Amino acid sequence: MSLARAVGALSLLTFAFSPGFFSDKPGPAFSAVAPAVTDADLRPVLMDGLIASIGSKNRDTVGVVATRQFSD
Amino acid sequence: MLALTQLAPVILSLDGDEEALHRSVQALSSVRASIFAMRGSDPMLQAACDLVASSFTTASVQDEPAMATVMRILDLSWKSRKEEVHRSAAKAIGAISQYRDCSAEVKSFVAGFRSARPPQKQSWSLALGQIQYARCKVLLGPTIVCLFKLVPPPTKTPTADVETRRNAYESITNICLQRDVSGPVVSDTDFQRCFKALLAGLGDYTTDPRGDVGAWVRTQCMTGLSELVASLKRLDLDASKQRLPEDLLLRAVQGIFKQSVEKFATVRQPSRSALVEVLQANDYPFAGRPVLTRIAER
Repeated sequence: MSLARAVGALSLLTFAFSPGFFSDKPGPAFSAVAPAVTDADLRPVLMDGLIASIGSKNRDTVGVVATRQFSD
Repeated sequence: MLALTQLAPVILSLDGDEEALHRSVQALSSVRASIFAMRGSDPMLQAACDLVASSFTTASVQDEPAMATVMRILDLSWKSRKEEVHRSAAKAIGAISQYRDCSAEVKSFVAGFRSARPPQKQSWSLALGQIQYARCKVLLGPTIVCLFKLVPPPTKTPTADVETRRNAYESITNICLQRDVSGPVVSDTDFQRCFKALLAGLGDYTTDPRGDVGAWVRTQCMTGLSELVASLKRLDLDASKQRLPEDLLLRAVQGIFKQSVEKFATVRQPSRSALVEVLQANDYPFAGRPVLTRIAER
């Protein structure tokens, strides 16, 4: 996976989890991650990041999980 | 949770990865229990229920800790005062019922109505319509009877609040629309009983300090009637008439048409849509049909 795509995915995740991003209208959340969804390599990373973030108190978890995936 | 909810259908269609969906349901256990129970937790409950509705799979049924978490979230959701949470929770139990026999929940709802608080009555009355009865057909009859008790004829004093009655009518409609491999789950007789209940609901003119709250019920009944008539599309004329006799269809047309001259536009507009749908969905050759069709399509 190229570094550009990895950085792109991370920035998408960071954007998606920026404070106040989520509201009761879920549309933008999907828009933010949509480019990653179309990429078969990025989908598992995206899912892992989102799943890890559910129980996390810290939004950075998403980035950490995603980084670990890319470095592997 | 919101993003995972939206991603679930994509993941399923592109990768067929049910395991990933199950992991997102499992992840609900990692949320501190107090998050869902504290004041103002409604958005969290709603998001969690939506996630369950979109991501529940066979693997989730077999995962006891995950199931315990899901059921705890649902228990809290039934008690919420927010209608949005009730709707999400009803969808969630509907999704669960596709993979697991929900007899225990149905029995609990049916038995609990007498002593339940208004939010629970409102949410349970919605949930009963979302549960799939293919796995618990024996409870279909008691469920319909229970819903009928919540929506007595307008001549009698209602036992349930207006939101519960509106939700019960929605559930009556949804149950009538349910199908399994052998066809509709509801018999012709029960279909007609449900249709008559919806017709009776068109006479709900309850008012309270919020105004003509009966309009919510009447609007729901119009929608329900039109959906039930539309469900006959897949049948031929003889089978349609056996399931819905012509006199009942005429009463529906009359009742819906009456709502088109109501005071509020919020009732008139749905009546037009319902009338158009009813007229388009069948070929019953009743008198006055051409005139009504011209009026409705204007």
